Amino acid sequence: MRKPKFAYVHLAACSGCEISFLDNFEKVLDIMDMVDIEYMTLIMDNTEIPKVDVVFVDGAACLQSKEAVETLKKARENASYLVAWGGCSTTATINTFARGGQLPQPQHESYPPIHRLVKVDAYVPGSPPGPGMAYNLIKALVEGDLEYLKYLSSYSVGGFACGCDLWKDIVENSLCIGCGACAMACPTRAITMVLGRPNVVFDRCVKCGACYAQCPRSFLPTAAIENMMKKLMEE
Amino acid sequence: MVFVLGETIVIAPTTRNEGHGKFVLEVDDNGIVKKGNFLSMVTVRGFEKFLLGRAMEFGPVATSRFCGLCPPTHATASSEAIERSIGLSPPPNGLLLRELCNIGNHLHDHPLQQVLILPDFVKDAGKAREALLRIQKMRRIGQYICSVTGGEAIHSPYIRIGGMYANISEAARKKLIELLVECRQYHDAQRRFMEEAFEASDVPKGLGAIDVDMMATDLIYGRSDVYEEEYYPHYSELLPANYYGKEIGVEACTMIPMIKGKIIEVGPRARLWKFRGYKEKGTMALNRARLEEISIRIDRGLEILKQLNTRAHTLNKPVSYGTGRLGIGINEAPRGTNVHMVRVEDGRITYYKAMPATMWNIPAIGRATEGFHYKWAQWVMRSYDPCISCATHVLVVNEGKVIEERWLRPGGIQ
Repeated sequence: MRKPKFAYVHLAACSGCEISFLDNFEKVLDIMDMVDIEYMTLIMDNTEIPKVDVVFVDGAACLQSKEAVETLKKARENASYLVAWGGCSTTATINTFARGGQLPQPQHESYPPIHRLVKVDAYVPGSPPGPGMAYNLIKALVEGDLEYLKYLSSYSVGGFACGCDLWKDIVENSLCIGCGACAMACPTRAITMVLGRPNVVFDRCVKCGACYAQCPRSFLPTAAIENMMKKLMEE
Repeated sequence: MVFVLGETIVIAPTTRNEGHGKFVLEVDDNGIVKKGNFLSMVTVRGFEKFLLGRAMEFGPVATSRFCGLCPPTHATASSEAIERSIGLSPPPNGLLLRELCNIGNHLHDHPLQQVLILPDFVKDAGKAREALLRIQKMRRIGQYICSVTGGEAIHSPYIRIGGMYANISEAARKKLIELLVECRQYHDAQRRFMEEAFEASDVPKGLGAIDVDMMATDLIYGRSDVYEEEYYPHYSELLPANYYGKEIGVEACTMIPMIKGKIIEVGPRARLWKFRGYKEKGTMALNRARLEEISIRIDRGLEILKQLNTRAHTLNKPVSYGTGRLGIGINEAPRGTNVHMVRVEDGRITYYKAMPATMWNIPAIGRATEGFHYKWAQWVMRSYDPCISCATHVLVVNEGKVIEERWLRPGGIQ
């Protein structure tokens, strides 16, 4: 089989997700054995996004910057599989708070999650995601492990996110089992478990969506729960 | 990509650096740079504006997300600025632990710069791979120290207003000592390797040697009082359009900061110059200074681990929630002096301003390319290891001529 080609595109973000990618340490060399890294301006000189099999998009495109939007479009056009790598591209995360008005480019104010602009094939939330996710995801892609990719490609992992999701979708639907996975996943330690249920300190929440994606109960289809509630009312 | 526009050379995006940079270079017939401009092209996310009205606790959490290469420096400078605004001091062991967390970060970030410059100096693929392995082993240790002390390696959540959220265990302390000793072995080998590669390179003598003032507040950790007394009264800033000229500056995304009306350099060379009497100048001197800094940080890390009392408390609680007083927090980031300024009133942020290290260096990088062929411009840039996401904030000047000057001392220090 031909060795897949890989590109890493960086938009408005802090590069933490790029560092997380490199924090596979010696395993970065294994990743290089699995895919040909064709484009990643942090570590190599290629300045044009080439045609590739898989692209990681890190960060959000600023709607007020034509260049940023064009870059995102080009990343989509040139890749067969697009991964929203990290919080800022998956859920906008810290960029959710942007409100413009800052010199020297006060017009830069909107940074929506990238799925609102282009089709996303897989989401990896987290601010930043664990390094292992990059390795696992690339391995699954190379080996064609669709089972592993299934959850990451579900829409509920991407889009606007907040600690509220746990209350709105999990606790309110009496799905919470009190396991504490959300608290363990929270990169800012905004979540503690109180009386066996998540307690979110919103002043620390950066809206990355790691808690909801980590919740083992967020897999359950809400349609099934609504049916259950309907039955409950009929009895 | 390199575009040639008459006598102007444009290199965009720059590569093997963090974020999106751009060179606009005026050259003569032989390609020698007459006037060098370096610009940030990262879109402005506007942290200083969206922090307004938020709880002070959000300050370190959000500003840590300026940059994923050096998040602890922002969380530290932000916490310290808030502490100084509300009148709170962390306990001594909290400060030691915070410094150690930052040292962990430097030990991952300084070696990372070697990954970026490796293709410039090492052509042999096998040797480059060996070096990469050594560097990744050092980075693993650095990031591990950072995650043990700070809770996470990237965006450490344990750096809190008032100190550090939790102390480390005695077992962790011993383990970190072992790791630092191991790190020194990798660094010694890697340092010899890089120095040999530097010796053998064909970099022209005097590349990047510029006469600019330098700023540093400490050899390792950073001192807020030093900045407040020595530099802050002389601070001014300019809009990029006024520094680079309208045509070039209109798309630049950082303001240009100045001390005494002049651009300045911060970072490894400035720190060693001020505290170790290091006199060398230029691109290679800066690369060598960074190697020396790694050794200094390993020694200091071991010293801290010997002093640290793992049973002491590391976090002090605020006794007041602020009256709007200006607090200045300084931390020496891997790339140089990182300045955060904040006003906190009733626990809410009412004013925020950050001047990260690369923001200071951006104008110096442009100037340092002058006098040599434009093909060396990116070599000069990489020696500063610019982190452009961090820097995307500031103002500009035009060749020492201040076109628009805005003193940023709302009410002065109270």
